[in-house]
Amino acid sequence: MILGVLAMLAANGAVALGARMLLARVAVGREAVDFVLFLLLRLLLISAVVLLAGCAGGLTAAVLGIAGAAATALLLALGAHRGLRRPDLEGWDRWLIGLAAIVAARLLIQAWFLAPYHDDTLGYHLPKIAEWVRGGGFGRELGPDPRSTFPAGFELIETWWVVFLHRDVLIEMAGVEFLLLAGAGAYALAREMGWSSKSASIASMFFVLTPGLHLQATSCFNDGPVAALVVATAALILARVPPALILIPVGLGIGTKPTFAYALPGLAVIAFLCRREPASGVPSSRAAWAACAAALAVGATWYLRNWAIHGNPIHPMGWEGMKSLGGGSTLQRMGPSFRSLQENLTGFLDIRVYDRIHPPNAAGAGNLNWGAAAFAIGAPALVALVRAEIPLRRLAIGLVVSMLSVFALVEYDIWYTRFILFVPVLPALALGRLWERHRIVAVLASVALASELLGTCVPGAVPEEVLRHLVSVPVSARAARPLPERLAAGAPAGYFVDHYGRSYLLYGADYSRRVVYLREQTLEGLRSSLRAEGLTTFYAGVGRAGALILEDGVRRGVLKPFVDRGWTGYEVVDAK
Amino acid sequence: VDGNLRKPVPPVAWEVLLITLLAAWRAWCHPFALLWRDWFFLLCLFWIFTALASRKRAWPYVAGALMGGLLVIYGLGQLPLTFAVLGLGR
Repeated sequence: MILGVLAMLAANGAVALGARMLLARVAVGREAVDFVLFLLLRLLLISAVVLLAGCAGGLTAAVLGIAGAAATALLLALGAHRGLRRPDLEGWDRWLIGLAAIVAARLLIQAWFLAPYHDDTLGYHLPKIAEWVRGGGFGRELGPDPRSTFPAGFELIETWWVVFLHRDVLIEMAGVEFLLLAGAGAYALAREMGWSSKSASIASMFFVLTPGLHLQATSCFNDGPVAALVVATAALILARVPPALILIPVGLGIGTKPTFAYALPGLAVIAFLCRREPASGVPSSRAAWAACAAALAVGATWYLRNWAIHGNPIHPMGWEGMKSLGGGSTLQRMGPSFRSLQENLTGFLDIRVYDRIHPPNAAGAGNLNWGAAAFAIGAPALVALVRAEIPLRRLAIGLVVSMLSVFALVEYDIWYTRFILFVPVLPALALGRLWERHRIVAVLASVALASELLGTCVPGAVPEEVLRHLVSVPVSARAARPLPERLAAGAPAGYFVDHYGRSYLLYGADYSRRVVYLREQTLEGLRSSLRAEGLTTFYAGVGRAGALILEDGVRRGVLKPFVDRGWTGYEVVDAK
Repeated sequence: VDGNLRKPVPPVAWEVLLITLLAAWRAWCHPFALLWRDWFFLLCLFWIFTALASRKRAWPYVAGALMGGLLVIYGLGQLPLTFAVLGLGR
């Protein structure tokens, strides 16, 4: 454990110094924009390191720690640490610095006590991380969900936070990093519009406390990171940095989730509207293009892998979109649809914006999750300001186009609003601007701020027993649900799956257990695989097709079902 | 509202006409009895008021009243759910 912590410190020191050294070559000389660039370069370096280590089979604490220590020593010798200074918080009110510290401390507590809890992450995003960390590199197994072949840029950052300790206690820190990027992006936007650092800091704080965005940070979802990357891209466009630097978050974003690409039309509109503004220069355009190429390569990796393995860069999507294997409903559509736009917009205006279906939650279930400040204070403030402030008007036009583009490209379902978590930066910015001008705005916004602080304490839509379980178990075994009692320590777990399932939990919080995925489509095939793996019991996360196979096995007396701590399992009768 | 006015804002008459059309569309496709608490409709009305009276002394008071009203509308729907998650008010 201590060696893991040392390796983590050494490797993080190396990427921080490396990002700083790169920044010296591409900085535009304005602190807010340069901080966004620093965060992006750090994320780029981490992504590249995990990708390379994963491909080379060196994704272990020892390899990364030793390489990190060597790189840190080299970078220190090259003087990457020189000129380090405290961040300039001039113009920040004391109460705001105190609030930022409280929110940061609360995020650390949330990251510590929460474990991945949402079914979508437990089956879709996270099993591949467990496989990578267990195997010390990338393999072909990605988990039970057919969507697990989709881009996994965020999973690279999550892997960084778990590989050193070989356990997932800090996995939420990846989301916290992106929340910091979101706040920095909002701050940079305000500063680039010529606003005071006080307005910028208030806007940034309100954006970070947007309930949906804030709760995403500790949920292992990748929509918050996409929103952060959209806002960071918008900030770089408004700052008129060279195109090579703008393409860094674009590369990272497309490699995180294709919904980032859905927002690109609006970002292009912002770039078009700002085209006559004076451009910012950088010390080395060669370094900027090198970083751009690296980011695009990192983002393209997933599409190239799918193309090489499955012959389709967006596998398992086809031209007809993607249907649910269970119910046959459309999970994801391909191409824009006026019907989707209409449904999503109607749902947004008629239902979601009021946030009265569910408590604030990370998945976007039923709500918009923009919070009281955006709904009640920020939106009217935006109406007033967008008429007079040209840069804000350009940003608003662009982000609304992005929102409509996303609406036209995603199906109307219970969760679709989490794809537009970048939009509340607009009311947050407007609120920050009017806070300084009108006392009544500051007073009412303080009330809204209090409600958002309350609403972001505990993720909503999580069963109470899950929350109770999380705080009651020691960190070494922390997981959203207890494992089956009959699962022996260290023994492999069989998992029969035909489309979804929360198999991530079976690996254990320390990834000590091998999970054997059983994907056979006949009972005989399943029994044969169980015999070959020496498994006498297995667990199931199946849809209709898998259920028919299991029912057949039970009817023929070769499988005996049981329920163990909420897990549906089967005992192989003829194995005894 | 003062701002970074390097270019003239669109002619107010056109602006008011456009937003009035949006408000009318909303009033037409939304239950009339619920319009008084419809977020989009209220924002449209506030936009029209701002276009016509942003430099009047009444503007901050009207803005404050709207913001306070929206805060109440939002709070009545959302706060009980938030309190329930926190184990308050049971």
